[in-house]
Amino acid sequence: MPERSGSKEAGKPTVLDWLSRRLRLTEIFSLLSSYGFYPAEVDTRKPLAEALSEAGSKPWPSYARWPRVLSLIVIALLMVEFITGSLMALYYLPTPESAYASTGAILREVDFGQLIRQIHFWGAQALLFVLIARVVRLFARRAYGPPRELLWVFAVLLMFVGFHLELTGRALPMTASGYWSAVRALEIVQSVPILGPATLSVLGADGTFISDVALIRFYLLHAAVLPLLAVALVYLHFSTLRTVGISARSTEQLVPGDSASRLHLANIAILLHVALGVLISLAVLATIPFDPPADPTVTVPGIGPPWYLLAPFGFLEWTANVLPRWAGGLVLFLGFALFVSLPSWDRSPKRSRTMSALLASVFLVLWLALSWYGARVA
Amino acid sequence: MWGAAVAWIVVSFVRPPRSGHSFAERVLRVGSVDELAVGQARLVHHGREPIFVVRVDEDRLVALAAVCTHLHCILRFDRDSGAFACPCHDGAFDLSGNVLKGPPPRALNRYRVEIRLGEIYVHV
Repeated sequence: MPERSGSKEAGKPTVLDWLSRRLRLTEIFSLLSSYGFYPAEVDTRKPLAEALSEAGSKPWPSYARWPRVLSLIVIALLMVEFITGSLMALYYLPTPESAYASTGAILREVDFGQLIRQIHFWGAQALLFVLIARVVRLFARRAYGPPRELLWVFAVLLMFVGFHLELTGRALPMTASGYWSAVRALEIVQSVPILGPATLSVLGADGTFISDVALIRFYLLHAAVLPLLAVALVYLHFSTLRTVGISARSTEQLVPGDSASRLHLANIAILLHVALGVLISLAVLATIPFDPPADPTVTVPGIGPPWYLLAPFGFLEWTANVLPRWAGGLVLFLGFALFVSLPSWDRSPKRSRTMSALLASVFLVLWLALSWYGARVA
Repeated sequence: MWGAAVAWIVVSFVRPPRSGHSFAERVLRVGSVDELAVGQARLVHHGREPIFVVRVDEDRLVALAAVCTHLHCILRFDRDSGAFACPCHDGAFDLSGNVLKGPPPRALNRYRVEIRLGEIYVHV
């Protein structure tokens, strides 16, 4: 590596040289390692070629393999969502009068409009699925002991941000099913004492009702605030990961840095192909219907909250007979707070791997049962 | 290959469709439903063709052009008979816009009207 770059520099100055005298190229390149695309850390004080050859000389555990790819899939899907979302924002109009009409126009009149919306929708579902899978994996493997507590916190918060992204997004077209499932979700938010009504008033959703003020705030959250939060959390995740190191299993060997990077890049290329392939197949094969427009004065029966909120919804409905609604909401909130702060109280020194997996399964079964109940009563 | 496909899709998507339809719905906001009693009509100003919005019953609204098809006089709404009367040549129209009597040659233009968030909107 040093020889090759050396021979290149012997000739006349390249574009890279020209740029490196004007830009901090190494710092810009290090963003790739900040977001997990380049496995090794580069020394940002050194020129790019030198920093790269130095990073390539260090050994590194073979990186982009299951299940570590999950975070990379998150970034890939986030990028897909950014691109398709920005494209749709070229036409979408966030007012109650025009939201439905402009979404319909994207689907009917714009070339590839249907495809872009389909990819955006299925990308969001896949993103949520992967975000949940990350949390479940960390939980089952108890990968949140010191010094990895923050990995858990960031993973749970990112999942939470993902839920909100999907929730704000599904209300935007103002279709009947999107509107009413968002309202059902807002009802869950409203059940949390003090915090719930406060959140709703910040959202401009008076009661549980999406007005024009609420729609533009949903739009701002969906298109600017939450994506920035998600990017920040991904950055923090990889920042922690680079500081505490990835946990190499004993069976894994350290690969020389140079070939580790090459392996990593090849894996990323394969990963992106597979992920995009699955996404486009879903987008083409599983068409989601475009509902009639929402009429806020007519409740459409049989529409529950979005699938990831069925369990809390089921819990609230299930406890409705024994607990007042605010108490149910309080239990939900405390449950979530306990879940986020799991690393601070789950400090039992040694628990076997089977025990952890068993606990995770019990938790999952409970969640699925509540979701099933929620879907039935919705 | 991926790049070329993505570039093609993005470029086709970004180019605005030629159909000339507006992406915004052309709607007029008439006002709150509660302010329009059953059997009452409201005249909505809209360029050279004002529109009558009539609340027929509790949840049925109709929107009709308020201009006579004969010589473009502005109609009046007669609440008792539930019909539109033309003051110029004694023409009359019913709530569907059909000609009841007089010289008008054809029915009134109808507009789609709906209630959203408790407000009446007319599509023009």
